[in-house]
Amino acid sequence: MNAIPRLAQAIGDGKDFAKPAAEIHDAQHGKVHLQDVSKVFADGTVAVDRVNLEVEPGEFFTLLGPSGCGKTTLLRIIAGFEDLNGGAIFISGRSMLGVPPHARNVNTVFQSYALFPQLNVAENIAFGLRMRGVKTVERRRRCQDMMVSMQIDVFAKRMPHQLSGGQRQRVALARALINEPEVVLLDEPLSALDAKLRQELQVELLRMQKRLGMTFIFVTHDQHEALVMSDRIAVMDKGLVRQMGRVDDVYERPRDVFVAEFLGLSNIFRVQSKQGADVSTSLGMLRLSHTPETLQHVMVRPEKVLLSSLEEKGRGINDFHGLVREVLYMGATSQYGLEIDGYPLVATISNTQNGRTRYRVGERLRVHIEPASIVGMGG
Amino acid sequence: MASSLGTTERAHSGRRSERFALGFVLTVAPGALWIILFLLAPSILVIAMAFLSNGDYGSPHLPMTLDAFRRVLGFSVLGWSNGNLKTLWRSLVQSATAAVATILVAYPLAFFIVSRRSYLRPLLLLMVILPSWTNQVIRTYAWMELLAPDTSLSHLAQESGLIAPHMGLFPSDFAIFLGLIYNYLPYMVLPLYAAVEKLDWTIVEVGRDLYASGYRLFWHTVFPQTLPGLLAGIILVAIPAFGDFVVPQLLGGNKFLMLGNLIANQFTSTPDWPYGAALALVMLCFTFAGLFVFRRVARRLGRGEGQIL
Ligand SMILES: Nc1ncnc2c1ncn2[C@@H]1O[C@H](COP(=O)(O)OP(=O)(O)O)[C@@H](O)[C@H]1O
Ligand SMILES: [Mg+2]
Repeated sequence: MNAIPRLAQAIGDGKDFAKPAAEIHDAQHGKVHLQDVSKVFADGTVAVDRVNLEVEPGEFFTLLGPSGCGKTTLLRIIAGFEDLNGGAIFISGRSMLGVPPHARNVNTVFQSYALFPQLNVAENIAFGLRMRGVKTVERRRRCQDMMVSMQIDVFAKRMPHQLSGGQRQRVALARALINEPEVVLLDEPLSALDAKLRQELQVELLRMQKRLGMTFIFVTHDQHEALVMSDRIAVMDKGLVRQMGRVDDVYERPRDVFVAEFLGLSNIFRVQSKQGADVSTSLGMLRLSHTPETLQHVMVRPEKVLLSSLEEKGRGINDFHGLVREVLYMGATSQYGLEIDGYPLVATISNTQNGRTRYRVGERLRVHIEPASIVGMGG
Repeated sequence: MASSLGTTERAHSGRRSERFALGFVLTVAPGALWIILFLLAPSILVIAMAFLSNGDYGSPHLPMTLDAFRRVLGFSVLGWSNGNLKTLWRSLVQSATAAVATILVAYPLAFFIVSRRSYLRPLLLLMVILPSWTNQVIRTYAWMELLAPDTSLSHLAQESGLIAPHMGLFPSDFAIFLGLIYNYLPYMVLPLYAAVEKLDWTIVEVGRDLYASGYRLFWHTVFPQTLPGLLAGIILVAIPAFGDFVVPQLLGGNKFLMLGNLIANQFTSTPDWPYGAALALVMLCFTFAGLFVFRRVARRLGRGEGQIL
């Protein structure tokens, strides 16, 4: 299930999801296209390695990857702060070669917020409009509207050092959004906030993005955040884009071990041999519904593992006997650490029966995995 | 049990407060003593002296009088003269000149030093500071030698038509200007360097991201960040330059009287201690007034940090 309708329900404000702004403009407006983009720093670090990306107008696109994989560098390249060592960038169909940051219709929300310390909240937000020569009256009006919609109008006269982290983040966001740029770049904007505030702002950010119809390129190293927010994601590692696609596709069908492990929990087994749809693994023989060309590992998500008591009848294929080693109660779900013939397997089961976990440590049970739930992967 | 616990506690806290008092005296006393001996006592002496009458050899005498202040304002047996007003004005101009001139040199210099490799920076800073470790009079004499008529610098200036033939670069207003920059540069460079070194370049990038470029980018993102250093430098330069008389006297050829010379004269060549004390008080008042205005301005400009000074 896609993250967007899920959040639409949570927010409960359907009309905010109309995209008037995006529809008026031509089809290219807000599109970001990176072609074989590379960045090598002076010390020889290859921060970005031949990256190809196509971000559609009005899309919430996430760059996900571990620290140091080149996310910030890629964002800075799009904003114009870093020169390229190769490749080309197009924003709204125009080449950005040699176009300085101040001439790009792109705004960045920096990880450290970086509010102007000598300007108050309203002045910070209006800065971009002021630099573009928007008349004072209109600037005031737009600034006021923006502050109201971000619920920071009561702080208008405060200085940045008088604000909390969450408030600063709102100001930084408002300062970028008020310019109605073609693309908004966000570099881990929520990572410094505590969990609750973070969730609030995630929802708010998404609501703003849908309402304004702007293209968002969002950087995070937090897989949950990436899952909740994104239309599409690109999983990065060591300067390379490992996999790109709709967030649910990437989650359900990771291309390799790195992606599978970075995005969500997974059980991964090395493939020892293969005969048609049957592969031999450390777990035993597994039947797959689909086997890709290069098959080195198979993966199954914990929530796809089905558990039942030993009394129930087996299904013939992909059936195992397991021993419960560990139970982690997690509220809505419980996570079981199972052991099958000495090999570990993680299963997640929803706690539907009055909140009681159904199996105890030491209990033996039947484990079944549907062939369609098993993903064959390369490397 | 409970009561015995209470007493030990009280005894304990009593001992602690004694120890605290001792610590208080030990930590505060040296500083307080210093302030009393070298700041408060001399100030009171000077203030008192300004209200006394002038004796035969310039030493102060009773009775109390406002005569010294009358003379400061320009009234004497010969009537009113604007001499003191002019002297004050010249000193104010000198102070402002020194501040502006050192800013013009130090600002780019601070950026230059910060942009060098990290091992070069302390070396370059040292080169700026080093001259200030020698005596001001000696340094100024050195400039007199360098700029005097018939030196290569003067010849160069003559040949390029900057000054009349057979004249030297010294004595002149230009020599004073040079001397002031030379004397006060370190006090402007150091605070500015500190400000430039910890400059947050992300703020500059934000400015670029929000469509600022060129001088507007500088004005909105770099300048505000260097303001604390700039203000500290101005105070360090402007106040001593206000009272400086070595540079104008030596490099200006003793043509103009500065407030500093005027005061010094009252204690040396033509002794008149009460008049000198009154002049010193006026100077002090101007310094404080200047600081007060400056602080108001700084608070307005630097409201981001709360308070710069
Ligand atoms: N200015 C720089 N000079 C040299 N190496 C850099 C510079 N900026 C980043 N790097 C290196 O480039 C790589 C990618 O960095 P970055 O884009 O910041 O990663 P991320 O944002 O994903 O954590 C890292 O190995 C980092 O050390
Ligand atoms: Mg980063």
